[in-house]
Amino acid sequence: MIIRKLITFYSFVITAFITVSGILSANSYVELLTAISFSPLALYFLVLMLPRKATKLAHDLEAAIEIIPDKISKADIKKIKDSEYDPERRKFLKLIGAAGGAIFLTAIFTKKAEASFFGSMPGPGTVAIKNTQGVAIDPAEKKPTDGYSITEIDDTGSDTYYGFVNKEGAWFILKDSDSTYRYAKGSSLFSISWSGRGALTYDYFNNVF
Amino acid sequence: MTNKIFLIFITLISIFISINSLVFLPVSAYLIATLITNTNEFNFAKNKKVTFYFFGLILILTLIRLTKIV
Repeated sequence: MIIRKLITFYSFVITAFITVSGILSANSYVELLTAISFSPLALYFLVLMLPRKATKLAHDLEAAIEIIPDKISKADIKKIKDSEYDPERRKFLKLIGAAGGAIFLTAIFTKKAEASFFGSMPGPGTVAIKNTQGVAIDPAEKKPTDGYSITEIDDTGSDTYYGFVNKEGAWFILKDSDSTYRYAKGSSLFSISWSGRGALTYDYFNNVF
Repeated sequence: MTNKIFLIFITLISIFISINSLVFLPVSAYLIATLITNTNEFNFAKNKKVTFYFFGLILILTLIRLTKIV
């Protein structure tokens, strides 16, 4: 029973924190809608945490107390049956107080508190990089020619050739013919390909890579 | 029936969040256990007042945020 209450309390704190912090720190309509969609979860656990009605509780207590009549006096039973006395309410207030304190401390000491809840998912504090048109871009995007280094240059003829190799041995050759640039690539044997660079088939960048 | 549908709905949401965050795992585990054991603790009809106040609060917070976004 205690474990069940603990889990309910834990769930309530987390869902309430996600909902409230998500709404308050939303920077776009999508983030706001996402945060609002989490609110039914918080409502569910709030309802479960609310104290039961006093009449039902008194009835339950009466049934439990009758089993051990010698240990509790009749005056105490009368006190417990009194509708003003509600132990569940006290517990509920304690739980709410503890939850508020926990959230307050988390907000103060955790700079990026949402990282604990959202993990790798974009949380309300996620910063996106945008281009000049305002479109979000991926800063980790890799170009097809990343990792290649210049290895050979041939500028003796009318066309200039630049040979690039990466650490796996893959290569590409850039041909500069009077300011038009064409490419040829391969996965190995750069030296042989470089020797026969004039006979290679060159094409546009988008066709080669 | 409404309670059941609501429970299924929030369970799906919690599973979605749990995929990305381990902290949320007990929540979805609890909800799945509740679904399986068919517990009737949650009753929408008996908590209309709480629901009203709760979503009122959410609406106020949303409006506060909307004024900042706009």
